[in-house]
Amino acid sequence: MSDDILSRTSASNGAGSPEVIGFYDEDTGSCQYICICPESRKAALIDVVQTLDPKSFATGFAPARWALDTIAERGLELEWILDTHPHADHLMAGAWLKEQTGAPTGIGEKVRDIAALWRDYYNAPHAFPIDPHFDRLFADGDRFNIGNLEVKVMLSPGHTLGSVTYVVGDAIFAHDTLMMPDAGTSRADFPGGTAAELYDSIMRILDHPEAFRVFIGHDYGSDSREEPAWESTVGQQKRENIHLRDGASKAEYVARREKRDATLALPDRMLAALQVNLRGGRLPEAEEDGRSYFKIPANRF
Amino acid sequence: MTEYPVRMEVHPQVQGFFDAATNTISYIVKDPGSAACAIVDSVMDIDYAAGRITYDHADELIRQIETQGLRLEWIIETHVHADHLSAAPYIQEKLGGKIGIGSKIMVVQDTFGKVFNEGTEFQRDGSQFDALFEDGDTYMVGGMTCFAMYTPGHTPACMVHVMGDAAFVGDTLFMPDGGSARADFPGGDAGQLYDSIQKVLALPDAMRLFMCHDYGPNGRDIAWETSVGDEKAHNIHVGGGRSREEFVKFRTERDATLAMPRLIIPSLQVNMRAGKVPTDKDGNPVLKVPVNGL
Repeated sequence: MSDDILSRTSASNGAGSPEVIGFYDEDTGSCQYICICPESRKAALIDVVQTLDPKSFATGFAPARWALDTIAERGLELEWILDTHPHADHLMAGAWLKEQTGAPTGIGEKVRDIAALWRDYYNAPHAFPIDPHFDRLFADGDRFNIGNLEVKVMLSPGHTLGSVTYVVGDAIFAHDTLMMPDAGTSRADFPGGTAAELYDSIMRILDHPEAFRVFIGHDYGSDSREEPAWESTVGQQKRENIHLRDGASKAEYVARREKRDATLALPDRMLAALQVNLRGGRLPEAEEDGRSYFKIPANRF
Repeated sequence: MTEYPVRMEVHPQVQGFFDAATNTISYIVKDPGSAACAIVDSVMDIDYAAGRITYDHADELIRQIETQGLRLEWIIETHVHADHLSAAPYIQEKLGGKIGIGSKIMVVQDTFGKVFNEGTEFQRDGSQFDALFEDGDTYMVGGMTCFAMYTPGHTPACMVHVMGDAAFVGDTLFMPDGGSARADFPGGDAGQLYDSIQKVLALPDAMRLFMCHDYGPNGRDIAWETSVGDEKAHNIHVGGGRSREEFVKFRTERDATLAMPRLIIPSLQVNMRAGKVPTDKDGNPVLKVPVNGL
């Protein structure tokens, strides 16, 4: 299975610049990353997927296994298991990765507010305690290290209210803000999302130098491009992004984004994914028969 | 062998309504001698990703019955469907009528009560339905005598319903070029399915057969009506006298290649409750999905 995973390596540009291995989950169009400090051989995983068959609800760890195999083959040491936000379209593999490696998990601190929103949707007032499920909650402006590389955390709300962008040297892990230039930007209509905040977050990302690499969260190919892609630069995004290149004002962007979002179906794994992701990638606590169950609220969306 | 009260001289009017989302055909069957009618295999619409339940398909059945001035007496489920949700309680609330299914529903309730780890409040005695049919049981739609034939194989509770010269085959046969239904769900059995199909094919050649599903194989238009004679001659899985052994081998191999139906989890959970959506302790409608359970 893991042989089928599409991956590409983006080389380090010298001191302070990470090597980035991007790998792809075809079922959900998710882009996942191994971010490597070339000097220390320390690495972080970003946004790794736990698979879920949306018919049978069987879960799996093929992409996460692929990542750990790659880390082992390359002789790397895993220092962080990071997510940019509680994803709506796929399940996180964080808890499983931590079990396998002991590395700490991290996500933006506003995951607490996101959990509060979803407790209401699931009518589960006591679900999703955050502290037991994440080792580190990052605030806007926090800094930490992957080996010798300094990571800057930027709060980037819009797609969710608590998404964070990790800027590692010249690599920006932009998750669901920008998509590839020919695909535009991410949707902003999930609970807690707003198109206006998304616009501001994108502008903060594009404030970086033009040569900075941008690694995005999703790609589905495009009309002119069959192969998925996930790496661009700040300069390319500024010049070519189809949602931004014509110098659209914030108001125009918001109107366009909201109009398009109104036409999009919800991701088929969303109602399962949040129950796992707000538990750091763990399945809901087993019932007395030893098995986990998702709760799908009817008629809340 | 059960003796079935076949009445080929009774010709009910049968209207089929195709649901494109699940490739299901729902029927309104009208007694030729009165305004009485029955519905067979209704559909409730669901946007699974959103958990959103709507009633466009059922509303169309209701509108037809109202505008044609019919009186709904029965809401028949040929079986506990695994690929669509039944709208039976919604229709019953609007138009009345009794909800009927095969008595072996209890076997299905027992199996899936475990799969969904249902509590004791979920009764496994079929009491969610108004009528539980045994093989050969008859019931009236106006002046038309109808009967149920026990036809397990696709599920343990499948029944074919025969109303005059029209038989509603549920998931036994498909159109001749579509073959037969799968037999690999819990409690399904390819050998039983073969035997059940032979019971259907033992009905008179002129008996009209109405399918529960059609997928338009090889690009042909959707169709749902054929006859016993046609199926006997042309069905690609059982026609031309294919043996039980051949069928079981073919069916088992084929089933091993099929994916789960997209809606199997919500369908079973709702349909084993006669179409009612379960609720949480606060009364909110909620579906429960076993993780790694199927």
